[in-house]
Amino acid sequence: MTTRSTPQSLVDELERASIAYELIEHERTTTATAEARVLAVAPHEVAKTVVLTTPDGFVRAVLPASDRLDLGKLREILGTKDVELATEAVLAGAYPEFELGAVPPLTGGDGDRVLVDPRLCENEWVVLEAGTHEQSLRLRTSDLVGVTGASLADLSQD
Amino acid sequence: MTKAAHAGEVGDLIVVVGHRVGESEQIAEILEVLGELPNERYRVRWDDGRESVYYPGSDATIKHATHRRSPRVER
Repeated sequence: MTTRSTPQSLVDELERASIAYELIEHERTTTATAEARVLAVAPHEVAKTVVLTTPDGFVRAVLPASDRLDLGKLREILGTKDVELATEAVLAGAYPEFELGAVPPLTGGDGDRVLVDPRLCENEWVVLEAGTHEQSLRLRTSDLVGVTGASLADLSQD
Repeated sequence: MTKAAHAGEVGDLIVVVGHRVGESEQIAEILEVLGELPNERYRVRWDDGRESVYYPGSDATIKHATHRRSPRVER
């Protein structure tokens, strides 16, 4: 299998916003916790992005790799019970530039709403998948929130 | 955050200041220059031996090779 490169839209967006970033190549990983392991960083410093379908479109929930998404909290935040995890078929259609399971919080999609768990903001830097399972993106958490226009919301199971 | 003003060359060092109390600066050596101004990015090797592609922000200063650190002495 050949290494899939980071989608150009992702680095273009960061450079347009003059945001410092780091791209880190690594062996293929398919979970955020495995990504943390190969990069030798703590799981709470790695973010996973979960894409959800809602009546108002896609929502990307970004939380530490070490945490589990609380759908109940999310439904309360969004004010609707009609919130579901996006299926692989839906993800493939909506985000063709990204590998399945490697959708980052920014670019792609159609103005998706982004929610970031404040636990991530306890770290200055955050690592996330760069649209592929073989490259990670590292940037300041404050820049991630700024460039995505994210709202902070408690998304993790207690 | 705005981009660092000075372009770097292979062998130069990039110094990224810490933003929080107690956080030390990070230093990387430029191994390869990628892209073109104003969006140059660099393949770098960090102090801990890790290599990555880095796109500097305003908190990064490029020290030209004349300021390169002394090689580590193996004990």
